[in-house]
Amino acid sequence: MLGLVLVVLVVGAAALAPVLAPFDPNRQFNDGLSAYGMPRPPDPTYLLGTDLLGRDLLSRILFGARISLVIGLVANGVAVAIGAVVGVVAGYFRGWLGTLLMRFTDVMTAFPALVLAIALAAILRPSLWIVALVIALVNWVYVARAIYAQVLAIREQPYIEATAALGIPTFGVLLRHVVPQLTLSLLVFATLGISTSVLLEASLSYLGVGVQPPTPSWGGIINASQSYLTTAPWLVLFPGLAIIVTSVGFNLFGEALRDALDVGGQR
Amino acid sequence: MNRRSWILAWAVVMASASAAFAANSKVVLTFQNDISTLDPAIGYNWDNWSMIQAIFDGLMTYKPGTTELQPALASSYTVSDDGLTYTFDLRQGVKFTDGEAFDAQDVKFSFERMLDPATQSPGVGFFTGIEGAQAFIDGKAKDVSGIQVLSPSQVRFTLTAPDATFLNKLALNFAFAVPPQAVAKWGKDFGHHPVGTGGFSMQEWVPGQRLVLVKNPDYFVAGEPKVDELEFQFGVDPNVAFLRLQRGEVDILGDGIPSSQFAKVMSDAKLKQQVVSSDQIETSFVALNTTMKPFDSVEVRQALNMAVDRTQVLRVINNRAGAADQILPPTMPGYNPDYKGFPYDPAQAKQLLAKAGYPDGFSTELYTSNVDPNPRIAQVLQQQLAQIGVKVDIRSLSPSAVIDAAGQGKTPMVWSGGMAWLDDYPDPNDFWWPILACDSAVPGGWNWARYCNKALDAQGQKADAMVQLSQHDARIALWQDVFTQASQDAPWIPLFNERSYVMHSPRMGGIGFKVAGIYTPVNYKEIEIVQGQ
Amino acid sequence: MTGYVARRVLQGLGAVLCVVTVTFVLTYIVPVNPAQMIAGPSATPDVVASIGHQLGLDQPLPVRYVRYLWGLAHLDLGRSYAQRTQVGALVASHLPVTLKLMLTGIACELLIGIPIGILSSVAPGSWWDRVLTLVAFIGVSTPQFVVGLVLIYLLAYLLPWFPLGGYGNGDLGHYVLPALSVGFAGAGWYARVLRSSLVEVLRQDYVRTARAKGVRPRSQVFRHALRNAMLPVIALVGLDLGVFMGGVIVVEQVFALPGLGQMMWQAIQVLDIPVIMGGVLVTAIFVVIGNLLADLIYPFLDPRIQYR
Repeated sequence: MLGLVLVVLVVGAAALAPVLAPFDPNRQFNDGLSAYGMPRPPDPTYLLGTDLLGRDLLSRILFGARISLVIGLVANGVAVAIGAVVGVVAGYFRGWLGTLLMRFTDVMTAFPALVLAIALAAILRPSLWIVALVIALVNWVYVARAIYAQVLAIREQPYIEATAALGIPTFGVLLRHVVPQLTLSLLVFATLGISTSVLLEASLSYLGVGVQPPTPSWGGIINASQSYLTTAPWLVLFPGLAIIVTSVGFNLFGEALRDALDVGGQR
Repeated sequence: MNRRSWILAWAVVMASASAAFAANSKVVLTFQNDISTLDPAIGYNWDNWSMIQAIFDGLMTYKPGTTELQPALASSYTVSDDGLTYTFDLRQGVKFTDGEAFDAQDVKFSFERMLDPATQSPGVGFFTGIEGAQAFIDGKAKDVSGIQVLSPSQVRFTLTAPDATFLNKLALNFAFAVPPQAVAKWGKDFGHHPVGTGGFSMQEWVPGQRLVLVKNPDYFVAGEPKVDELEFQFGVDPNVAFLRLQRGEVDILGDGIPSSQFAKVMSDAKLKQQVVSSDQIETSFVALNTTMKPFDSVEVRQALNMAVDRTQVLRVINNRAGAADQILPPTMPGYNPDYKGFPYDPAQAKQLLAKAGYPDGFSTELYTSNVDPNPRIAQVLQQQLAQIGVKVDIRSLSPSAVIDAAGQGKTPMVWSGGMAWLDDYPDPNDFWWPILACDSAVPGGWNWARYCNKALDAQGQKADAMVQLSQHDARIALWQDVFTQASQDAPWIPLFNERSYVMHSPRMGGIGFKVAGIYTPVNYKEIEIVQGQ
Repeated sequence: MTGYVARRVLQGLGAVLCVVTVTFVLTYIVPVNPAQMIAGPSATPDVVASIGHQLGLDQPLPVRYVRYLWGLAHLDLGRSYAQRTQVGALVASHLPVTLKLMLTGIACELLIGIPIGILSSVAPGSWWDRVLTLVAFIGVSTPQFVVGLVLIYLLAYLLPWFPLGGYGNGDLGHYVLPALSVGFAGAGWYARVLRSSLVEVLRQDYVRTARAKGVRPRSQVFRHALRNAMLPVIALVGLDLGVFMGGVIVVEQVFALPGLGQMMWQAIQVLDIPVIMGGVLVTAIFVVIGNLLADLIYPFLDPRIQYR
C-alpha cells in the first residue's frame, strides 16, 4: 500500500511538475547566489534552497522526477523486452542456441556494469535516450535468466509437449501457450526493474556521465554539489531523498504485485 | 563496554594518532590524486610540474619570485649575432644526488633522451627548432647535430631559425639534466626513481599514498632549499585537507581552497592571512570554430563576445579570477592595456547578429570538460547566449574526449576550462604558435578556433627573429599588435584570467608562494618556515 | 564433481576472455587517439605519429589484440600511457584497498542483514517484521553514494568520529564509513533471503520435532534452523562479489579511496586504455570466482539439483 502511495506521489510530481514547480527549473536567479557563489539555504522564496547556479532546487527536483521516470520506464521496458526474447528463445529451443544465448548472458554478468555504461556513454554522446539504452543493456541480463528458468519449467508441462506432438507450429505454441504464462512475471519485472533503472541512472549521473546539463537529474544535482556537502547539505539531502522515495516506491509496489499475483522470480 | 562507548574510544585513539605532527622543518602538502611521474622529460601536469623543478635543474631558470631568466646549471652564455647559436659555460663541481658528476655530455644525453620517440615526451615540439633534431626524431641521424659538446664544461646549441624564446624553452622541465647511469639503471621507470641535481632528492614514494623529498645538502644554489623535508600526501579530499590544515596537520593545500569553503576563508580575518593570491598567466576562453558556419562570420563572433556577462561567470568560481577582455592575460608581456575588447551589451549583440543574417539567432553546440565547475560555467553561458537567441546544446565529456574532438575541428564551440591555456613560459608567442597559428589549425592541433591569419603569422615570425636583448621592447610591441588584431577578430570569447589562491599554515612563508606564472602551486625551494610553533 | 568444477572453471575463463575481448574492442572504438594525449599540446603531427608507432597503434586491431593476449598469457598487462608504469604494478598497489573494502563491506552486509533476517523471521507478519522488512527495502532502494554522503555528513562532519574521506596512512578507520555504505545498501538482500529461507525451514518437520521436545525458541532457531537457512546466504555472498565490483567505482569516488575503482575512473578520464583493460580484467575475474562459488554451493542447498 505504501508502495502505491509513493508511486502515485512520484508520478504525480512528474506529471504535474509544470504546475507544481514555483519557478523555471533552468532559470539562474541573480539573488540565488552570494557574491562568492554560495547557494541559498531553504527559505520562504526558495523552499528547498538554491543550487550552485542559483536555480530553485524544488523546481529542479520536481522536473528531475520526469527524467528519472522516463529513463526508468524506457530503460526497463527495453531491458524486459530483450530479456524476455532471449529467455524465451533460449529456454524453449535449448540446444546450441540456448547454450550460446545463456553463456552470453553469463558473460554480461561478469562485466562491471558501470564500466560498460561509462564506456558506452563515452563512445555514444550522452543523451537521455543513450543513457536509457545503456541501462537497458546492463539490466536485461537478470530478466533473461529468470525468464529462461521459467520457460524451462513451462516446457516440461505435459500439455506443451502435447502441442508439439499435435504438430502445432512452434511460433504458435510460443505465442499462445508459453508467453501468456509469462505475462505476470513480466509485469512484475516491469515494475521492480524501474527501481533498479532509476538507481543506475542516479549513479551514472552522479559520476557525470548521465544526462547532459542543464537537464535536471537527481544524480546530476548530487554530482555537482557533493563538494558543498558540509556547507550546503540540502543540495545532497533533498535529491537523495527523491531517489530513495522513488526507488522504495517501485520496489514495494512491485513486491506487492508479485505477492498478489503469486508469481516467482528473483533478483 | 557497550557499543557506543566502544566507538567513542576508537575515535579518541584515532584522533590522538593523527595529532602526532612534528614541528620541525618538514612541510606537509596534500593532493587528492597521485602524481603520474617525476620524469622531467614526461611530467606535464599541474601537480608534478613544480615537484620536478624541485628535483632537477636545467641550464636556465627564473630568478625566484620573478619571470626574469637567469642561468642555473649554466654559469654564463653567449648568443651569436644572427641568433642561431647559443654557447653555454657550465657550472663547475655540480653532482647528481647519486654522486655522478654533471658535465656537458649529460646535457646532450638528456636532450637526446627527451627527443627520442621511445621516451614519448610531450615536450618534443618545443625543441624541433634545434638543428638536426627532426632528423634524430625520424631516426635518420644517430645524434642531434645541433647540440655540440665543446668541452666537458661547454656546450653549444645551433638553431635552424632565430627564436627569441629559446632560453625560456631551456628553462622548461623537458630540458632538465638527467644522469645517464641512473637512467640506464631504471629505464622506463626512471620517472618513479628520479635522480637530479636539484634542491631535493626523493626519499620515498608509495604510489597513491605519499611522496617524501629531502633536502640536498650539496645543492649548488646557496641558501636553497629552505626546508629539510617535503611530504606530499595523496588521496586527501580537498575538504578534508582544509579541515586538517586548520588543525595544524597540513602546511599547504596542494589542490587549493575548496570552493565550498572559499567564502568562509575570505571573510575570516585570521584565515585570510594564510592565503597568498597571485595572478596566473592564464586565459580561460570559449573557442569559436572560425571554419564552421555561422562562426565564420566575424560579426557573429563579436556578437557572442558582447552577449556574455563575465561577472556572472566569475561568481560561479567564487570570483577567483579577473574578467578577461582580450586573448593575452594582463600578466603577460604584450597585453594591451588600452584595448577594452567587447563590453557586455546584449542589445548591440542582437543587432550584430541581425546584420550577419541571424536576426532570430541559431542553434549550436558547446563542448566542455565534465569536471566541476566547467559544466556549471557552460550552463551560465548557455543561459546568457539564449538571451540573444543563440540556442546552445551542452556536450559535457571527459577532458580527453573534448580535447580530441576539438583537435579534430569537429566542435563549433569549446569551453577551455580545465584544459587550456596556461603559459609554458612568460612570453606572448606561447599564446600564439600552439593555439592560434595556422600551423596549429591541423588535426590534433590545439587551435580549437581553427583560426588562421597568415598576415599575423608572418608578423609573429618577424617578431620572433628579434633575439637580441636590445630588440626586446620592439619585439613585444610587435606581438602586442598581433594579439590586439586577433582579439578584435574574436576567434575566442576570452572569459577570465585565473588567480591562484594558495593556502598555507600560519608558520609558512617565503617568496616561493609568489607564483609569478611559473610554479604550480609554489616554488618548493623558496618556501620557508617563518614562525616557530 | 571434479569434472564439474573443472568445466565450470574453464567456462569462467572463457567468460573472462569474452569480457576482455569486448572491452578491447570497445576502448579502441572510442574516437580518441591516445598518442595525441601523450604527445601534449606542443607536439607536431610527426611526433604524434612516432609515439603512436611506439605504442603499436599503427597496427591493425587484430594484431594489437593478439599482442595483448600474448602479453596476458605471460602475466604482462602492458604499460600505462598516463602513469608510465606497469599496469600490473598499478593493479597490485590499488587492489589491497579494494580487497579490504570488499571484506569489510561484505562483513557489514552480513552483520546488518543477518540479525534483521532472523528477527523478522521469528514472527512473520508481526509489527517488527513489517518495520524490519521496510528497513530492508529502504536499504536495497538507496544508492550507495547517498548512504555514503549522509554517513560522511553525520559521522565525519557533524560528529568528527571518522575521517571525511581519503586514505591517509590506510588504517582501518578509513574503511568504516565506506564499509557501512556498502553494508547498508547490501544488507537488505541478505535480510530478505535469510528471512524467506528461515520461514521455510522453521515450517519443516525437524524443527517442529525440536519444538515438541521442548527446546526453547531462541536456541531452536539458532541451532537447528539457522544452519540450513544460511546456505542461500553463503551463495548470495558469491554473487555479491560481482555486485560489489560493479559498484566499486562509485563508493571509492565518494570516499576518495585509492582502490581499483578510482584507478579505473581516472584511467577512463584520460583514456588510459591499458589501465582500463587491467581493471576490467581483475573485476571480471572476481565476478567469475563469485559466480563459481555460488554455483558450487547451490547443490548443497537442494539435493535435487545435480552437478551436471
